Amino acid sequence: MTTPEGHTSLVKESAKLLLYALLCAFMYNGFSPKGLPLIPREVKKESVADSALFGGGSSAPKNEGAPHTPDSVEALPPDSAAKAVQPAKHNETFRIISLDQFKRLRAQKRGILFDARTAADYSVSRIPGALNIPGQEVTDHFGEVAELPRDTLVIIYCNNPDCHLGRMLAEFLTAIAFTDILLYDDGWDGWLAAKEPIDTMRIKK
Amino acid sequence: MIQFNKHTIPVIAARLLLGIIFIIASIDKIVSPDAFAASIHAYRLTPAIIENLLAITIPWIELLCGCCLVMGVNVRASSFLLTILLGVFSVAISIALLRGLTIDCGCFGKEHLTPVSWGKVLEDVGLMVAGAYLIVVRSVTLSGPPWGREERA
Repeated sequence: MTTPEGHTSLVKESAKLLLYALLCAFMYNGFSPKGLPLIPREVKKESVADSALFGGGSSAPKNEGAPHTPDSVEALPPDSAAKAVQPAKHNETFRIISLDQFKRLRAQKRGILFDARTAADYSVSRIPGALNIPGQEVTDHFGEVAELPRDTLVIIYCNNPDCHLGRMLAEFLTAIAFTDILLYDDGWDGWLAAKEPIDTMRIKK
Repeated sequence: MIQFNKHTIPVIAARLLLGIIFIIASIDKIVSPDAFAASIHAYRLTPAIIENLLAITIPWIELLCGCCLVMGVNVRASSFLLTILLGVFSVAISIALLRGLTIDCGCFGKEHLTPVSWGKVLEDVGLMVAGAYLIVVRSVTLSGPPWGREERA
């Protein structure tokens, strides 16, 4: 029943099948809008200096004032409308802020805070005041972010520096022309480790 | 002409079980390859450079072999490939568990999150048994001719 020829035909047949699968996979990946780069690109992160965030005296920060809410809608100037949607920027450098910087920004009530974790995580507990825009479902939440002025200071957090959801959200926001995006990279884990207050009111769907 | 014997029913059951499970498992991974790449990354077993390649190719191997099993085409080769995949999965899940990682197993994509557990390993081993059975029995009963006509159980 198991002759040597049987084994070779099994291996040959499997190799053929594997080849077909790889062919389908790469063709699909090439044409799919959600296709992945074959080699993952390196994530570039840079810390933001305090002076850039809080101003070094004469140069006043441009986003000072109350946080923008969806009520304060400002129309884009007509000439910028054409630039409103840009192709997704790959090789984007993510701007990272530390816990201290994050807390100072919160104390000054600057910017809007997005939680890029999954809806399930968010519904259990979150940083107070955060809005949930899961990094994998950004397009479902387009309506919530579309009406914000594009120069709104956006602060994003995810689980930890390894979490790709925060970077996905940052890339999406960059693609729709948000210009001032900060990533609190230590994220939820860092927030918990620092024993900062959390909002644990359960959110039911 | 269909020839029934003692293997007919178990073979069809094993084929449908493996085939349908893998088709279901592959769909969501194909739809969101980025989520599957993240699941692979979470295992911390593979070098970063091949993570995307695995995320692109594994779901298609699952889908193609799953469809073959359901249709009865290339049954042995499909079972062979899927059994190898299941072996890799169970080893990966076991290592994650031994390292104490609490991660999503990535088994059925992001729509059905299930943490890694020994139960998952057991599931995989069970499916491996079904796959091995299909390789050994070489049945083509209720397969679509003209594929593999020379092999009869």
